[in-house]
Amino acid sequence: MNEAQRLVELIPRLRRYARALVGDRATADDLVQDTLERAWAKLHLYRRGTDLRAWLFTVMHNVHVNRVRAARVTDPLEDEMPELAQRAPQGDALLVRDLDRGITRLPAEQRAVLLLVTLEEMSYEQVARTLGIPIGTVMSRLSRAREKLRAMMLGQPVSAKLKVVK
Amino acid sequence: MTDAVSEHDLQAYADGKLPEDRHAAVAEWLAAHPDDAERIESYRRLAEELRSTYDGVLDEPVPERLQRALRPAHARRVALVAMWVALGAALGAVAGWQLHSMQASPVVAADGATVLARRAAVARSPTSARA
Repeated sequence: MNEAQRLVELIPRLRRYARALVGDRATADDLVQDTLERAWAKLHLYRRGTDLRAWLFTVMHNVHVNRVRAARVTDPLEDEMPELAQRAPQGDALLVRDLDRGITRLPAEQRAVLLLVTLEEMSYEQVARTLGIPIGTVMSRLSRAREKLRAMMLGQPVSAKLKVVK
Repeated sequence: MTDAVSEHDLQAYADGKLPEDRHAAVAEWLAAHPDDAERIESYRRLAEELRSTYDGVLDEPVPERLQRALRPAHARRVALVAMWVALGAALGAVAGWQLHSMQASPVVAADGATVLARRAAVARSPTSARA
């Protein structure tokens, strides 16, 4: 199978990760679209035989960082105000919404690590390679993300910095 | 005897990524530390909830615009192949036509002569001049 077909097969996984990463469907698909276009343009930089999924998620990570940075230039509060979104229909609605909201309140770099480990079920080494960070950083971000999310789910105050969504 | 159990071990345990040879040590640690056991269990549940929340996206139909995002380069490649095929076909046609005309030229000449003769005959004919 060539890279083109494998990229097509990875689209649903990109969408799942993007949905959890940014919250709403339209913004998530915008991110996926930008990622796919960039991946196409840069496909010659992918080394055959290496992990295409990790490569693609690296592209998505870079695109996401750039988009967040650009959004911050136009609206400094953008990153702090996760949009309310259409949610996946399955599961306990209240729980889903809380978990969703909890995820969007995590610092972006912790969110990425947690989602790659839990949704993509990447090894810690793969996460480190995908995000271009040392494995020790992966572990500390994972640990902090989980502890924060757990505290949020238990209704404990996590951070005084959390802003009220308008 | 319990080896030192690290936070890395505990996270890996929650993720089911713990190497086999660490299992016994971590299980022993968790048995002796109920707070950690409860915490790690909650991490494991959280991961399950995350998956059940977002796995539905995997089954959603991929929007047209995302499929199109992969098309420009693909279309370019298809167009390139099509161009070569067309070029090949054109070269083949030209070669075939030349070959054909080389073989067929006496016939064409004969046909041409016949036509000319017929036209001459028609021109000379008084009936066709009147028509």
